[in-house]
Amino acid sequence: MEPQVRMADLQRSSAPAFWVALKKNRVAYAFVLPALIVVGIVIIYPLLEVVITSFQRYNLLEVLTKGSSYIGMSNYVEILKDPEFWHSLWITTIFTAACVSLTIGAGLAIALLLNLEFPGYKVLSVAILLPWVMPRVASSILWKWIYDDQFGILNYLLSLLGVEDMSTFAWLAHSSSALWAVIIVVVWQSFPFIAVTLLAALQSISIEIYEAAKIDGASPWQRLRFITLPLLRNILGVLTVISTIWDFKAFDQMWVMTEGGPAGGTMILGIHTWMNAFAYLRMGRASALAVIMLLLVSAVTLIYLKLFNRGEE
Amino acid sequence: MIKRRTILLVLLSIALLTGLTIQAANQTLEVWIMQTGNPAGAEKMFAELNKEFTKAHRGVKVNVSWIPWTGAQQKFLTSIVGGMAPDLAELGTTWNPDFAAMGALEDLGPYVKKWGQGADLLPALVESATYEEKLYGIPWYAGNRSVYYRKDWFAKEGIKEFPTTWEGFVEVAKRLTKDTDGDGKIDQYGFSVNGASQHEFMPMIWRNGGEIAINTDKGWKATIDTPEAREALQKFADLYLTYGVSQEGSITWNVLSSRKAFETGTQAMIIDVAPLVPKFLANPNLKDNFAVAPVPYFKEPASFIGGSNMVMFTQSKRKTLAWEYLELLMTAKYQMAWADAVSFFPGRVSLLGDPKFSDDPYLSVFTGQMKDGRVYPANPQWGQIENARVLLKMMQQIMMGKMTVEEATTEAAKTMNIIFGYSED
Repeated sequence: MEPQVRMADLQRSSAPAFWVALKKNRVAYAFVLPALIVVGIVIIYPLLEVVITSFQRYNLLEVLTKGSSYIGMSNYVEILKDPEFWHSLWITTIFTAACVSLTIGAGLAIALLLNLEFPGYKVLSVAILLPWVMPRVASSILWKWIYDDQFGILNYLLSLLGVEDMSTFAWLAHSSSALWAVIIVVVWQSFPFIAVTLLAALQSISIEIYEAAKIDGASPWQRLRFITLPLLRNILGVLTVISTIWDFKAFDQMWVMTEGGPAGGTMILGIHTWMNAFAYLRMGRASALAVIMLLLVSAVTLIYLKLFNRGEE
Repeated sequence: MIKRRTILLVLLSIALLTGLTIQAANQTLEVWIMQTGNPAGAEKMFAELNKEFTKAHRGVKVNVSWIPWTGAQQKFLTSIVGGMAPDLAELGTTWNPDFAAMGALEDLGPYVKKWGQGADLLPALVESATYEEKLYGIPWYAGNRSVYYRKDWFAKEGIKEFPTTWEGFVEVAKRLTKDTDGDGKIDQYGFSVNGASQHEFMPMIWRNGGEIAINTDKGWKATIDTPEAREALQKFADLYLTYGVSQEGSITWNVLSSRKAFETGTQAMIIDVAPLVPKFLANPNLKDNFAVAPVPYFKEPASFIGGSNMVMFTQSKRKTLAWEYLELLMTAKYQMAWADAVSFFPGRVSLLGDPKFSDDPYLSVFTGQMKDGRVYPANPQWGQIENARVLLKMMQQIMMGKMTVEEATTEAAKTMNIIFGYSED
């Protein structure tokens, strides 16, 4: 099994080639069809609905009595004029950048450690999956307790370490510490998947390459820099894209722990969109926000793909 | 061969037909009730009610679903828009105008007129259920808030009586905020200013003779930026900002956090609802050590009356039946049974005179404040203001020191007016 997905394959597909492939692999596509139908019903159809709603004035307070009406780009214009949107986009950018880099960094470090195959590494590589396996909402509630100013174990541990000033510090009551507190939770929840995937990729690199490098006198750092990382390039690219998408549209952890507070200080786009939909009941505006989020994520993904493909040929 | 097939066909059609007739007689009334603090008691009361109702209505079934408060409004909204609303439901009073404005609720005025008991319904909750002069809900139960305090700690400090003035309250809160184990850190707080829970700080505006919003001829207008409102919020926030009687983290505390602090013995006073009385009486650490008092006020007594109304949805296909169910639910028998189960007050004024409410040393404190009961502005936009956490954001900005009371109330009033659709010209 080749665990590496070729980034280039994700990108290259021109229309005629697609039809040729379709004819050639008729049976294969027939097997994929049921899955495609399900995807169509649960993803494509709702997505189209969101796009359509985003061009409407669709206010839940009015929709039963007055219905909805098309208002062109108004929702988009209003969003771009709204300082809260830009504030929210800024926070989301910090949040995503921090989550992705820390997740990939931690995942890579753990994978490299586990790849040393020390005694007990197999047990450990299963154990690190635990945070990822736990339901996100449940573990977020758990973390909220860890951060609790009065009863939290974090402050207790800090006071044991002699950091007396922190013994009643309210982690979630300050905008920046609340943001970082949630970032840590997201990283904690998502690094196992990255680590396990990278470990699988690491183990597929043949030992001979390393041995040859060793004979040539390459230091461990050089082996990492010039053998391991280049060979992990593709999988790292895919993982970065996936993480970016996940973290950009984060909602549950932030909702459980801060609800976008204090005073709007952790209002990431996911929560901003939810607020428009279910607090202000502006479904049209919320849909437009969702479309904007989709476009932003797609743009970032395309940039990544370009970056990772460059120099590969 | 043919014979057998005919018999089969006949049997099949009989089965189908009986199935159909049974279905026709079997009407199911869908009722959504919010989850309570006493699930067993609540379920027992509804089991009894449903038994009595189905006995009188042959072939009718009642299906009661218990809806968690968290996310309930979203559940209602999506089910209404999706055409899946129940026949009857309990609605939090502040949501009633929203759903009425949506056109989702049945005007209950004609039903109440025929019923003839309209005058007995709790006025504050009738206000919350009224939208454009029509009644879209029946006050089912009501609740307000009082101060719970540690009378053993009061005694230890030599404080004889619970203060009735604000200055007295501040003084007591300061005396009860202390370092009890001598490690140089405060471990007992007087009172917490909860930044994520508006029912404690908003009524302070009424208690200072102010209003939250008023209905003008140009529509609803925010008045939280008036001097009375600002002064009230300033005095309340000063408990946190100036006197330090409130935990640092209380910026993000809600009523559950302060309740926890009271239960674990780290806080002397909380403002909270009546169902805590039986809960605290069952708690061996608290049962002899707590008492209840009216909330101190600045200029005039006032208390926020929350609670729930019963509403009927326009989508219901069994309106007569649904109303008959409501009538039974509103009888004194089930009103008192429900009050017993959930420790709130009945929605009928005549029942508030019951000795259960006027003689009980704890409940009587709550009952006494019911007469000064107020509700939040009853308009369809209020729910948006609450859900968008406009007022919480205002309080948190004040507590975090990011804004003065003046700046924060100006900003919040601006946001509220946008949501109300109010403009000066």
